[in-house]
Amino acid sequence: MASPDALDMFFESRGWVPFQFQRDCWDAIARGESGLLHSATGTGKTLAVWLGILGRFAGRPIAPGLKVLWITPLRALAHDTRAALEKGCEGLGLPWTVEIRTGDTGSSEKRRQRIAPPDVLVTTPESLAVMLSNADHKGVLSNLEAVVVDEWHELLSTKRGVLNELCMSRVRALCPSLMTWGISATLGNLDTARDVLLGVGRTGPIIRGKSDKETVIDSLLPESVDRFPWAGHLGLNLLPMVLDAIEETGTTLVFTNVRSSTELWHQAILAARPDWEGTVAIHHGSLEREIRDDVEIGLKTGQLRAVVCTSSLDLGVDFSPVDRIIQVGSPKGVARLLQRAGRSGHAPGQVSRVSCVPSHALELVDIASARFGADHEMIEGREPLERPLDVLCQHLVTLATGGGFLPDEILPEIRTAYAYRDLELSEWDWALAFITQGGTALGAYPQFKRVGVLSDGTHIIKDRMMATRHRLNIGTITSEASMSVRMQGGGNLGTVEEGFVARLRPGDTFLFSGKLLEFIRAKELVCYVKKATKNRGTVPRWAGGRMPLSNELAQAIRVLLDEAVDGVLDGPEMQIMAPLLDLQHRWSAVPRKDEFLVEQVQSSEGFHLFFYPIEGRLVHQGLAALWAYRLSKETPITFTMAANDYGLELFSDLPVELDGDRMARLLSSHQLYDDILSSLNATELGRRQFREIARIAGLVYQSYPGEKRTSKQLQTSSSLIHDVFVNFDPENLLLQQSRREVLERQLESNRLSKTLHRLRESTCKITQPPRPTPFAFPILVDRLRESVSSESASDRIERMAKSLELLADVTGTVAGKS
Amino acid sequence: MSELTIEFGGEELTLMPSGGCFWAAKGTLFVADLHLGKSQSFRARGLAVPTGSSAATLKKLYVDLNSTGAKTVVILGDLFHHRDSHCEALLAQVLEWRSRCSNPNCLLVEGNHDLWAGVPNEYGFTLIQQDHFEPWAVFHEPDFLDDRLALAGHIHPGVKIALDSRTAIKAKAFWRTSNRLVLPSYGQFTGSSTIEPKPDHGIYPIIEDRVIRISHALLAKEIPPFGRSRRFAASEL
Repeated sequence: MASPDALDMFFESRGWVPFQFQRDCWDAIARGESGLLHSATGTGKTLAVWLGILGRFAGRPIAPGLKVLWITPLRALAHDTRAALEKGCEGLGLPWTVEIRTGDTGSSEKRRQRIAPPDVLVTTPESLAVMLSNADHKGVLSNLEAVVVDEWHELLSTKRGVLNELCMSRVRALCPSLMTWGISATLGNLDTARDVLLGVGRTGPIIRGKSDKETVIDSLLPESVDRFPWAGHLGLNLLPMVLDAIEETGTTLVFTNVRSSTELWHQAILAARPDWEGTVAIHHGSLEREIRDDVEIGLKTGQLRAVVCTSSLDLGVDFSPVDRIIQVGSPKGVARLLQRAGRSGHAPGQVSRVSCVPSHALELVDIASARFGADHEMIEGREPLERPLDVLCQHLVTLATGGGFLPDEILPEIRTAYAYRDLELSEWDWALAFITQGGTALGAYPQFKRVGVLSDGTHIIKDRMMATRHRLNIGTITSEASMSVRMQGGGNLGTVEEGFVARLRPGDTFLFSGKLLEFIRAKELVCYVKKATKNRGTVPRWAGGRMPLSNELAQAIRVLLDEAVDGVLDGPEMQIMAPLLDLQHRWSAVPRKDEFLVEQVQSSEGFHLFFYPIEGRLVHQGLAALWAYRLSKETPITFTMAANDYGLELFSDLPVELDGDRMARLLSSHQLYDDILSSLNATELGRRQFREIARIAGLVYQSYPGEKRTSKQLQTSSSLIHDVFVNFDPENLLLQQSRREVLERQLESNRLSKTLHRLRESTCKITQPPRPTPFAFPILVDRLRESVSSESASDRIERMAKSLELLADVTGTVAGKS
Repeated sequence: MSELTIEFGGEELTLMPSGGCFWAAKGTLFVADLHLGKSQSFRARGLAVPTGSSAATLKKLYVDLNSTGAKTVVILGDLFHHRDSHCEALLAQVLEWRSRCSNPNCLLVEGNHDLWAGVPNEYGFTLIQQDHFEPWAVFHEPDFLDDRLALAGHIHPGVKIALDSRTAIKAKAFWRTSNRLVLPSYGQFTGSSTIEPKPDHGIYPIIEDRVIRISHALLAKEIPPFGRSRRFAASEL
């Protein structure tokens, strides 16, 4: 039995006193319970769970074999995690071996681990799935006592999380008395997070970590809002203040929202302060592992003054020396900002400080609202996914590869995974048919070979080639085809998307990994570069892009604007906004929280309608398409649309009357999903979403750099496969899943529907401002526009071609005359 | 349906929305890259792709032969996808197609896939050489270094056209350079790869059921990162 004394001694010997939550954790683990521990970063969560588990073993004779699996969402964290776990073992005098098994682990190492497993294995959900695809997994995993899932919030609402649930259902079936512990940041839906983690029919305590860690959220503010742009993306205008902030603090992390701005900020900082060369580093997910490792070591040893980074540094172990966080651009969510803030003052007891840098005026409101949200504990939840069939198919093939399974035995096990608790028999039969026959029972695909069925009903893959190919394709992460960036003299810098390289001409320069590079040539999957001699270049764009405001933050914004109408300006950000809010009020209105503001503006170009649901960009895009579609059904009209986090614009050549009846029709829920699907280019969106599904379900194989090209005749694009399905097997459940995912994930249809409901309950306030207001301006200048039209594509193209010809004629004449 | 007739090497050729190219003067239909039996070779390797694409390709070819009245069909390579593609069912489909079309003269320029796959005699295709026709040669791979005029296939040409700043459509296209007319892939289970034509090239994409002529300027260009259009000058505010 655990000796809590040993744990106390461990703490005492270091001059530490355990927190109550750590004791709670140890007690629960000592009782053999499973559970979820949550708190902000840097409060000693790892120690709480790990020492508890070790305590259970202390003083017990130790049998050989794998006892603990430690699952981390980022393989980059594996090494730090191992170091932390080893420290715990040493402290308690347990001679345990801690090893790593991720995608980076070599094959001979993996083989050795299967023959002589370590006591503790640090791994990822994908690597766990690969372990299950080996026939000997039962022997390796059967002595497991505990599984810890670190950073569980990162996995929760993703298909990786579902993959993890399925793997855990297998592991629990092998080891019924297994303990499961999750370590998570604080979430708005902790009960659900716990239930998903532990699986159906199991429960355990939710332990709240130390919460009195003080977090300061402030802003770098311009002297007056006049000096502030109404729109923009970069916010480099506040560079001098950021430089001062870096200068005055010890080590600073500068977070940006997208990778490309990381490159730009890094360059701007060094251009202003060349003397900081070598002490200001850059870190983002597309950079080569070694480069990121160097930066992380530099952070830990305190050699770096600042690191400009993206979410790649959101997670992870101790960066104790970080003193301050700078967040560039809108925080987008309360939990996200708090998580980032937690990166500073990481050690227990220190203060976390995050200073936000707005890039345009309205982001001041975002910042004030994020602080308001943090003060009122408006923490976002993460919703788990419901029974994605692609992940199920992949898991079943994994089980078939790992020694085979009997469907009747495995179905109850699958249903212990939260995502599949309500899996219907028809879906189950479909999945089985899919992996054995290709199509459904009636429409079996001829010559299809994948999972075979033995006479006793065992579903199994015996073909070694097919098994290997499946192992190489396990996982749920799909990425754009990417190319390595390599210096001419050797040395990889990282990866950029193929599409970016395709647009480069030899001699073009671009900014990457903090260096200005000149493109030499692309060969196979490598983009060869050298240091540029010019001093300007473009910046690669990576997919993933802009995230919308969270529900909670949007709600906080509506509250703060409402208070502003009453003259209550919450915090310095709102106070500095006062003149702009006043202008908004004079020209139009600042919406109260139960008001829905609509502005009609006429310009020399035409008629603009601005709507402000304040609900985040994704929902606004959906609403823009929906309303444009509904309006154009009533009268023939073409709109172009734009949206941001505050509102959306519909622009047209013709005026649109907005009376109460028409507003009611716009906001109606009647035929909502049909209208959404008709209003958007749903086929195209579906095709894109299908890419991920096709890859996970094993309809396309991902090729790897360096892979032999023998499988070339099997390579095809998922959009082509999508079209083949639409034409020849339209009832396929994977197609239906892609339509559902488009609605739920790309369009946030639930949130959209709730928004319509809220807007119906609100008072609609329609104003006719003389010119675009401070709220309207950022939407107006957005370069990303799309249109809704009843014309066919070929008509539109012919019209475009004609207008081009006209343009050419006109310029030709002018040139001729001059 | 609307086709487009162009002049190539002094001959009139009709570019059809199906991807076929009809030479009315000689009653000959050219098509490229059918990749028959492609889905089958995928299924044999564990990728669950539905059946029906080969049959649909043959049906389309039947419709084209019927509507044009062509007596000769020329495949500019890649009739078959892979050696796993051959099977009883496919042979039966092809033979049934031939008899439905009243046994047209079937000619094949051997493509790289045909080399791997093999073209068994019983399918009834006659292999022809590059100089089989006048006034242009027939190639599978375009081989741009050869300075003869030629029809070709192989590269599955396609283009991207921007409808607005967020929406681009991708379409298969006929592509005419100074000495080549490259046909789009005709097979139902074939994709396209985006070409980079020069301004003096002819670009004839297939949009919906029409072949249209577009200028180089309509091809989608990537929006430069951080380039922003401002429709309002600051002074207007």
